[in-house]
Amino acid sequence: MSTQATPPSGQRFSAQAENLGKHRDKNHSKTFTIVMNVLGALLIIGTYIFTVIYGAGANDMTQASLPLMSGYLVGALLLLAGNVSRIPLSALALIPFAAAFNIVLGQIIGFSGIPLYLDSIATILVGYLAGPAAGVLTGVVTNLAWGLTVNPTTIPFAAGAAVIGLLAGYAGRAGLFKKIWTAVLAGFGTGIVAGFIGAPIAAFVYGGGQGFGTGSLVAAFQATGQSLLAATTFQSLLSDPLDKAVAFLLVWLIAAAIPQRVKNQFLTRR
Amino acid sequence: MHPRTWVVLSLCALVLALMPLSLAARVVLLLAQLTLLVAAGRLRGFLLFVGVGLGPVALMAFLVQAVSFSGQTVLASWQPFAFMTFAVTVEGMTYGAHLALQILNFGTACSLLTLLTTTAGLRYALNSWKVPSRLVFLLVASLNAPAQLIRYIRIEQEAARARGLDDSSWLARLKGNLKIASTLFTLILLDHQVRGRALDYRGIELAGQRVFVRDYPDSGLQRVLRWALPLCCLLVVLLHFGVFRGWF
Amino acid sequence: MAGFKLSDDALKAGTRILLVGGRSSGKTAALNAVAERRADAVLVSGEASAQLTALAQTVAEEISLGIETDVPTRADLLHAVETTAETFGISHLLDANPLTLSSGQTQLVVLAANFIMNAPALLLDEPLTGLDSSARRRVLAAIAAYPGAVAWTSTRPAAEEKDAATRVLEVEQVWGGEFVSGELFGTVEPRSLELDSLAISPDSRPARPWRRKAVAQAVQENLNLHLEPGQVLRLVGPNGAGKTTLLKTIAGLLAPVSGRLTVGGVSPSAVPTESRLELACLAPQNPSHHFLASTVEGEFSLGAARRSTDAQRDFLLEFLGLNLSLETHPHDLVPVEMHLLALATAAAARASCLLLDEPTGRTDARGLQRIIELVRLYTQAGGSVVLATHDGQLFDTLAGPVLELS
Repeated sequence: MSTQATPPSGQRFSAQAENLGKHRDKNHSKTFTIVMNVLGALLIIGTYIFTVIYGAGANDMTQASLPLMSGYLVGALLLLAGNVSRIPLSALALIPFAAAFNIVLGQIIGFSGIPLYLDSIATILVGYLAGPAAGVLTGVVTNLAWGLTVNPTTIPFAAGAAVIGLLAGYAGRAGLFKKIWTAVLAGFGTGIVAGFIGAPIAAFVYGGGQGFGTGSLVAAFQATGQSLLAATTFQSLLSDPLDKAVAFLLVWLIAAAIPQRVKNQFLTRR
Repeated sequence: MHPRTWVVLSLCALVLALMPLSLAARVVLLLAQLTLLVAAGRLRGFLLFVGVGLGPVALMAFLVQAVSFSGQTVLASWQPFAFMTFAVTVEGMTYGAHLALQILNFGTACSLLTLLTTTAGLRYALNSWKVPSRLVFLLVASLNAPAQLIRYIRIEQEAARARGLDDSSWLARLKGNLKIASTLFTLILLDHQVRGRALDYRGIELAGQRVFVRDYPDSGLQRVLRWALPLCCLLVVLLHFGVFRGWF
Repeated sequence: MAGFKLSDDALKAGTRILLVGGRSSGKTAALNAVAERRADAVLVSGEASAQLTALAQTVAEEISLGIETDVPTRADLLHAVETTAETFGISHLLDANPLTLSSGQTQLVVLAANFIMNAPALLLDEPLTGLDSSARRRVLAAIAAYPGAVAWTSTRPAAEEKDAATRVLEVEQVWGGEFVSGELFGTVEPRSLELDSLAISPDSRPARPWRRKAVAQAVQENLNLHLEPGQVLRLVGPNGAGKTTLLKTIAGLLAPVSGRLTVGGVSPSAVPTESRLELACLAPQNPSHHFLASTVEGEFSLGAARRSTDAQRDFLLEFLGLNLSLETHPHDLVPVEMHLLALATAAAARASCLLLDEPTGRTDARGLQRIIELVRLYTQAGGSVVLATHDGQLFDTLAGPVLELS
C-alpha cells in the first residue's frame, strides 16, 4: 500500500460551490432536442418508406437488412441523444429499473405462450408519468438491454419501442389516461403505429419467425400470395393494437394504485 | 483481452451479420464467432442464450420461408383453401437458410458483446471513448438492473408468504402475483427520487476521464486489430453496395 | 413545529452536529434545507438499497464511483477505497455484489461510498439505524475523524452518539399519553414454542411437491429453547448472526436444516399457509416491503389479517396511535407510521407466536412506548412474542428469556 497516496481532495465540490446552482439547473437547448427528435423520427419514417418501395414485389430481400437496421438504429440513437440530457436525474435513475421490469415481464409472457407481448408496460407508465422524453428513453434502453442480455431478437425493435414511449407520453399530456376507455383507445392507436414500424424488421431481419404463433400466421398470409412485408404487416396489425390496448389498460390500473406522494413527485416536474 | 477490443469485435460482427453474404460466407462468420466464444470459455452461456431466444426464432424463420415462399422449384405442396398454397421450394429453403443464418450471426454478435465483456469492462470501454456519462449510466445500469428487480420480487414474494396470502390454487397464486407486480412498481417509483439524488452526489453524470478499480491489459496487436477490423468491414460494405456488386 | 436551523457558520470544518428529535420534529427537513443551499454538501438520506447506483457489480466499484473523476491515479483510488472499507469494517465485502448484502451491510457500504468523497459538508439522516453495536462504534469513529463538517440526525441516541458530537440540538420528545383499554383486542390461541437442537440456514427453503429441499450450510446450530404462552423472548446478536433467519424459520418461511422446531407440537414449515399463520406471524424489518395493498383497509383484508374483525382492526389502529383514514395509501405514511401499521397487520393475524424483526428501528419515544404496550397486550391475550432487536431501550424495558446468537 502506497504511503504517498493522495486522498480524494473534495476539490470537485469546491469547483461546484463556485457555480452554485448552475450544475443542478442544466439549461440544455430545447432546439437541440427538437432537432434530434425530428431527425430521428424522419429517419425512421424514411427508412420505412424506403423498405416498402424497395420491397414491393421483390423476392430476395437480404439486401435490405443492413440499410433497414442502420436506418432504424441510427434513428433510435438520435432520439436517445436528443432526450437524454433533458430529463431530470431522478427520471434517469428510474429508467434502468423500468427497463428491467419490461424485460422480466416480457420474458415471462414469452415463456407462458400467451399471444401477447406486454413488454412495454413500464415504458408506457414512465411515458405517462414522466413525459414523452423519458418514455422514449425507456423504450430504447429496454430493447437494447434486453437484446444484450437475454434475447438479441429484440434489439432491432428499439425504434418501435421508442415511438411507443413517445406516444404514451403525449397521450398522458393530452389527459387520455384519465378515463379507462380513452386509455384503451390510445393504446389501440399506438399499437397500429408500432405495428407498421415493426413490420419491416419482422420481415427482413427475422423472416416472420418470432414465435410459433406469429410464424404460422405469417406463413399463412404469405401462402395466399402476399409479399413477406405485407404478410408481416398484416400479422403485426392483428397483434400489436390488441397488445398495446391491453398494456394501456394495465397501466391505467397500476396508476390507480400508486400512492399520491409518488404522483406528486412527477406533477411538479411537468 | 481489452474491453475495447471486444466491443469493436462484436460491432464488426454485427455489421457483417446483416450483410447480404453468400450462404458459405455466413457459415464462416458464424463459425468464427463461435471459435471466439469457445476460446473465451463462454460456450455454455452462449448455448443457453441460443436455446432461450435465438434458436427457436432462427428455426421458425427457416420454416416460414421454406413452406410459403413463392419459388419455382416445388418439392411438395399443400392447398388447404383455394386462395392459400403452401409449397416447399428450393428457393424458399435457400432464402430461409439465409434468414436463419442472419439471425444466428446477429445474435451471436450481441452475445459476444455481453458474455465476453463484464459490465464494468463495458463502462471502462465506453468511458475511454468519451461516450456521454448519462448514456453510459443508462446502458450499464440497465444491464445490471434485472438482478436488482428479481431481488425486489423475491422480497415481495416472501412478504406475501409471511402474511399468509392465499396460495392454495393457481388462481389464488396468480392474483397474488398481480398484487406483487403492481406493488413492485410502487417500490421502484418510490426509490427513484432517492436514487436520482444519490446519482447526483456521486457525480455519475460528470464528464471526463475516470480512473477505475479494475485495469485491463492492452497490447499493440489489439490496438492494430481495433483499427484494422472496422476498416475491413467498411471495405466489405462499400464494395458490396458500390461498384463490385456480385463478387460476394 | 419550530424545527431546527443549521446556518452555514455552524457547519465549519471539524464541527459535528447531532440533531435529536421525534416524528415530525423537522430534523430531516433541516438537512434537506442545507443540501438545497450548498452545492458542496452531500446528503445521505432514505432507504440504503435505493442509494446503490446499479452501476457496480462489486462493492469496491460502488464505493469508488464518487471519486473516479477526482483522483489522479489508480493507486490513489485503490488506497482510498481500501482505507475507507477498513474504517467501516467492510474490507471482507469488497468483492461481493452490492445486491446480495444484508441491510446492515448495505447501510455501511452506502456510508462508505459517501464518506470517501471528503465533501466539505456531510449530512446524514439516521445513519445508525439497523446497525449493531460494533458497526455503530465504527461509524461514530468515522464521523469523528471526518475532515469536513458533519451533521446527523437521530431519534433516540445512545450516550456514545451524543459524546461524538461537538454540538447537540435537541427537540423535546413527548412520553406518555392515553392508552386504550386492551379488552377489545380479544384473545389469541396459546401454544408453546419448542426448539430442539435446531440448526438454521437462510438458504433452506421448505420442500414442496415440485421442489426438493436443498442441502444448506447452517449459520446457527444447536439452538434449544422452550417458550411458554405469555412470555416474551428477546433475540440479540450482531448483524448477520442469523436473527432474521431464526425468525423466518419459526414463521415457517424457511425449513430447519436439522433438529426440531414446533409451535404447539406442529412444525410451521410443514403445514399449508392457512394453518401456518395460526402458529406464527412475522412482521419484517423493512415495512415498506411488507405492504401489498393500496389502502390501509386493503392491508387488513390481505391474508391472515382478515382474522380480526373491523372493530378489532380499528382498536389496533387507535391503540398504536395511528389516526389514519382507511383510504390512505400505506406508502404515503411516514416511516414511523409504516412500522406501526406493519405491526398492526401482523398482530391482526392472531397467531400464537408474534415475531418482530427490529420493530423499533426509527421510532421515536411515543412509538417505542406503543410497541412495548402492544407486546404486553399480545402476551396478556394469550400469545407469545419473539423479538429481535439492537435497541437498548427496548431491551431494557422488557422482561423474560433472552437468546443470544453470536
